Amino acid sequence: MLNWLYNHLWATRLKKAVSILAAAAVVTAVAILVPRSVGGPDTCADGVEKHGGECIGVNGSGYDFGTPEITAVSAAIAAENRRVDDRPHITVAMMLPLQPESDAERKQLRSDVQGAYLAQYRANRAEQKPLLRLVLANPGRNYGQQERIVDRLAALASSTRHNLRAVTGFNLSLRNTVAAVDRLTNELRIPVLISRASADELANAEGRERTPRFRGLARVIPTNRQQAEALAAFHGDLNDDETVLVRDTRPDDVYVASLARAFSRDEPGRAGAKDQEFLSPSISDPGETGNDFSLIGHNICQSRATVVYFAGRPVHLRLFALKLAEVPCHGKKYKVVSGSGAATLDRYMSDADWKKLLGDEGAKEPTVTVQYTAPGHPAAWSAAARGAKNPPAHLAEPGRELRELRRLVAREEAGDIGPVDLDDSRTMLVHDGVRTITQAVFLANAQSAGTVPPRERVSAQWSRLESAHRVAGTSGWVCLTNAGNPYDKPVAVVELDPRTRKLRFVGLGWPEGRAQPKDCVVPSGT
Amino acid sequence: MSDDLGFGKLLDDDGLVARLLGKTHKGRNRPLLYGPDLPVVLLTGGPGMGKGRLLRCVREEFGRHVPAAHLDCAAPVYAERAAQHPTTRSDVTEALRELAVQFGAWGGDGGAIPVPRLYAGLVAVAAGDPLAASATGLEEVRRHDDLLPRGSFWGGILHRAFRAYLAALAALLAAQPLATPLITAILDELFERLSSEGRAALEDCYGAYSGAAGHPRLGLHALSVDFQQGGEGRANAESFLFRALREDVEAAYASVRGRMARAGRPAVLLDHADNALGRRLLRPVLLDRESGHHDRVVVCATARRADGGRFLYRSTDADADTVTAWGPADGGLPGWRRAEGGVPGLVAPARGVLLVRMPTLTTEQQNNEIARLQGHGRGGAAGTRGLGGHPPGEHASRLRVESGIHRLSGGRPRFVTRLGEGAAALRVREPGAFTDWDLLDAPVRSRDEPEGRPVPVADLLLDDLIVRQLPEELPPEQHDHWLDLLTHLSVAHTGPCAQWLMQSWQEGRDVRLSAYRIDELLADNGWPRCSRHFIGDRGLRHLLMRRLYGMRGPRGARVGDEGEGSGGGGGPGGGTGEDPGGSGGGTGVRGGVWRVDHLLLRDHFASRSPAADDDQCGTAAAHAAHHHLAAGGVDAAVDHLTGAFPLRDSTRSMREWCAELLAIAGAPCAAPLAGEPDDRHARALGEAPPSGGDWLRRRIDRLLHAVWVYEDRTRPVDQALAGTWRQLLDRLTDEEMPGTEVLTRMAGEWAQLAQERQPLSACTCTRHLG
Repeated sequence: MLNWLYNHLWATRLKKAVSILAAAAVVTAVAILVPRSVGGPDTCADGVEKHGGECIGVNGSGYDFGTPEITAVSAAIAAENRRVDDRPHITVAMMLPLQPESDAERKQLRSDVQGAYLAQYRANRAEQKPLLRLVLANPGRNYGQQERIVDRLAALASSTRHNLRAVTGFNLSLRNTVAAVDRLTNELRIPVLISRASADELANAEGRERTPRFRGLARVIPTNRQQAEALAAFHGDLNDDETVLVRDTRPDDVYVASLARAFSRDEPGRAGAKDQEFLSPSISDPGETGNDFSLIGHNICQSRATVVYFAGRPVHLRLFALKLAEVPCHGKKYKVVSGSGAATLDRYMSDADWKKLLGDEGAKEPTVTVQYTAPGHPAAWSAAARGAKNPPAHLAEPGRELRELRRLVAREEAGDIGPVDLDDSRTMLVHDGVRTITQAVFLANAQSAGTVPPRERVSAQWSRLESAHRVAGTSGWVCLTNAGNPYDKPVAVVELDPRTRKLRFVGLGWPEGRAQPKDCVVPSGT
Repeated sequence: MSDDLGFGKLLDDDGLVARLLGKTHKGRNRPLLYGPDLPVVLLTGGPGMGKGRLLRCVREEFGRHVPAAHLDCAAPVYAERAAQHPTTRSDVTEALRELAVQFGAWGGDGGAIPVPRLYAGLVAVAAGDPLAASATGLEEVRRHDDLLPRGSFWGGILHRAFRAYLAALAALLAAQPLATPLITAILDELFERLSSEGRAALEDCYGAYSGAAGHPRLGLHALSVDFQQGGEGRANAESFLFRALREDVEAAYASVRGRMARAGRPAVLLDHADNALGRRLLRPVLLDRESGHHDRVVVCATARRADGGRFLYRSTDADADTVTAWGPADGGLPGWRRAEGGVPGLVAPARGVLLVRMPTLTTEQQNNEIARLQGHGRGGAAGTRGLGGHPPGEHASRLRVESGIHRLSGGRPRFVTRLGEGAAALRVREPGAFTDWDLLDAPVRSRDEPEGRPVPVADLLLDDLIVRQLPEELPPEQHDHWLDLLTHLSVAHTGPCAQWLMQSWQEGRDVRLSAYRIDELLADNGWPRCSRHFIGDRGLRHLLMRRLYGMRGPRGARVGDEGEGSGGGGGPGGGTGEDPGGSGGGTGVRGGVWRVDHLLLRDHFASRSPAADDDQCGTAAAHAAHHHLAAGGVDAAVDHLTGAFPLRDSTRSMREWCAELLAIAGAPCAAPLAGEPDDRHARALGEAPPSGGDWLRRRIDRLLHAVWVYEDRTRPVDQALAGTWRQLLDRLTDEEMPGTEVLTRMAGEWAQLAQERQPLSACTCTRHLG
């Protein structure tokens, strides 16, 4: 056999040449084809692999996941990580989709990551141990590949080199998000702090007897219900016939569902128009909803309602507001009220959009004003405390914190992290979340031996963070209930003002209907 | 590999053949040995050494991977074909044509080897007969159409004009009579259609012909004329044609396409190349290469003479040491290199020759071959015997057969194979009584007639080795009794001994062969020489002696009468009753001629002065005693030895006496041949005491028989017998006399030799014993 091969492939120079060429062709073809179809995944960066066209993985060494907006800030994170690498440290993972498609989403992402980095920067200079290492974890579009990431995080948590002690991020309330949080908390016992997702499904229910849905989960953002309650409280007593609910019925979007539930509270007075439902194709795709909205607009026009509760995503909210403004209704003015998800609405608005919302050129009032709760607003503290000589601590302390943050950003102490925009509240919220984690870790470390506290000690500290150990966040005091929810965390009621084309702070809404108690002592029964 | 018995070292992957051809028999490439100047490899060895078998092995095993053209120069077909048109053909042109056809049929790497140069030359020769009718001439030309290179789309000598050229040749036939001589017309057509490549090829080749001055047409014309001229001119033309063929092959390898597609070296295998045709083929190769016309054709030829052949030497003695001789047993590879200096044409062609001695078989190879043949002979019987093992007697007889074949063959492969075949059919009943003569009697069927009557293996061997391989220079009228002459000579020593025998036996003939001429002819045939035996090969000598013993001469032949007469009358102590053959059988009975020959020689030497020097046995009397002993005259031999013993004859020295003893005891013994009881053993041990004589004679009688049996070597050595020598020699010294110390020392030496089973009197042909 060997001789046969030799005589047919290698006996003369010509055969050698042909054989070598053929072998080279085969090798080249194999080298090209096999990795594409058979071989292992491509690597995007250290710890990041390519799956289904996305770069999925956990990275803290400066990889920007192909999103140019976060290049600067991830480089800054990497520099900070390198600084703490050889000292006792814990790792906090920032888990959220890092490869968004639209410009607006990428800017939001930048705000999120900036918030986390700024908190890391401040924590590592608080002269407390252990130090904080921050890694970015990309679970893919719509958290589609969260399982890989959760696996990876589990490995990081058990590694003594990384000491993953908390996972934060979670900007979207989706089934996958719930599944990821469920596994992280209940199965892997990794403390999770949600700083941006407001769905009620991502929160533990309050109550002494209830076993927590997620063990070791904490939040710094009020749930949709709380936000809706805060809005309702802010708006006082509206009669039922003055309001109408427009809701998205797309399944799997727990944010929309919880918002709809919150807006569906019983209201006094005569019954108003029934809920107007529509079905959107996805979070960021308007699809055919425009036509629905025009029809819904006509119906609302006929009703007495002037306040429209909108349970939907910002993309659809914008479209709805525009359609509502387009529908001629005898000069009727509307106020569209939505949840914190709308905080980024202004980024979707174009020049023409603003004009439409404004309605008639000469009108004093715009046709449609969009009002929603923002989990925070940089103008909140100064506006709320305006005129008061000694503003209460629940206003003064967050204000001070915010000034600190502004100063840090303005001085560019923390290096180049790209343009920082505090208006959309994301930077503030994520910053507050990481600060809360830091606080819990410091507390846990003070109580346990060694340089790095174990995970369960960290999650055990969530319920300590009230009263004396309250966290003064830039978005307000964070005092966690036993279920891990922030107690009576204020929300900023903001309005899109078509005249100024800016977000106008309207006032603070309190989910409990009143301001937080003194020193943020969480009362019993919650 | 088929039939590669004993060729292992030559044919294996790093052996000489693989390195010369650049390919192993499995087709693996090997670094090329020598080059660009190549030696002509001459395989030398006598009959039955496997030269032709080796060439066939090379053609079959290596011919699959490199083009190997095989030509048997002894085949009559070339001469026959040449005789059909002697003016335009010769056996050389026919042989070259055959080689070209074989190269053209090569289907391996690189494809067929085109031979445009040779074609042009052969066409010129074919068209050259000025007296032939143009139709006949054209027919001769068309005969070579199959050598015409086919050319392809990509190029070639004739491009695609190949068909046009053939058509033009056909047209010539129609255009009778031709306006110009046929050769001019043919060359016109050829040159008209040549591609530039073809033109350059012919220019390089025939432009160099003497008198061509660079013009290939002139060269071809001159070649044709030279061929017609005959004699030296024809030889020139023929050698140039072979050069053209080798240039064709070289071009096929040296072209870009050849370099890419071909590997190794092509081979021309010439069997029986020591005959006239072979010499005419080899000589131009040697001369061309000597003068710098190198090519990569491995010319491998066979020759029987140990020095390759007389044509290689200008003056045999002076040039003998310039030739490189090598044998596989020497190990490694031969370090051939053309000697520096010398004027081409004035130096011996042997400089360009590498003599490769054909290997003899080692004992192990012989035993393996015998075992293989035994397996064949017994067929399935060995299998059915199962695990029961051999019966004890069979083992002993197998050892006897093996040692017998070893002694007789001396490693000559043909001997081993034939004797092995014979032994396979042989049933040895009594291993103790089994002699090598019995082995030679084993019946064997000839391979040519597998159904024929079995003949004794000895006859078959003689047929193979002598009758079918007559010396080339043996005059035809001597052909019929060549074997008989050799048979008689089997009893002779060299020199005058053989010559006397020849003279006696050829007395009535017009043309006689002298023993010295026969000696030369034997050497030409590759038989080794021995200083003590005329037939220098022990195996052949035994074959001939056996034949001699069985020979029945013409009743009343003159020689026989003379021998009989002198044997009966004049011999010293001869003609007594103990002469077993003396019962008047003459040459008509078995053993008669044997005895006649010996007695003839005895008488010849007895008639000389007893003390005359003899180069074989010391004295003429000892020589006579030797032959007398062989003829059955034991007592005469003992008498001679007793009389010459220094105690009795003070003029003799003990050393001379011992040499005489050995010389006399070297005589062959007829008893085992005749199948008669052999009493030598008993007499050596003193069990059958000789009649009469004093103590000295009795002791010498025992000693002579002990040495005689030992030296005979047609059966294994009896160590017990050899052990008695010392005692016998010691007892000779009982009386005070000069030379006692010689006897003691001799006893030691002989005991040592007997230990090693070596002959006591060493000679070339018995070297393999022991």
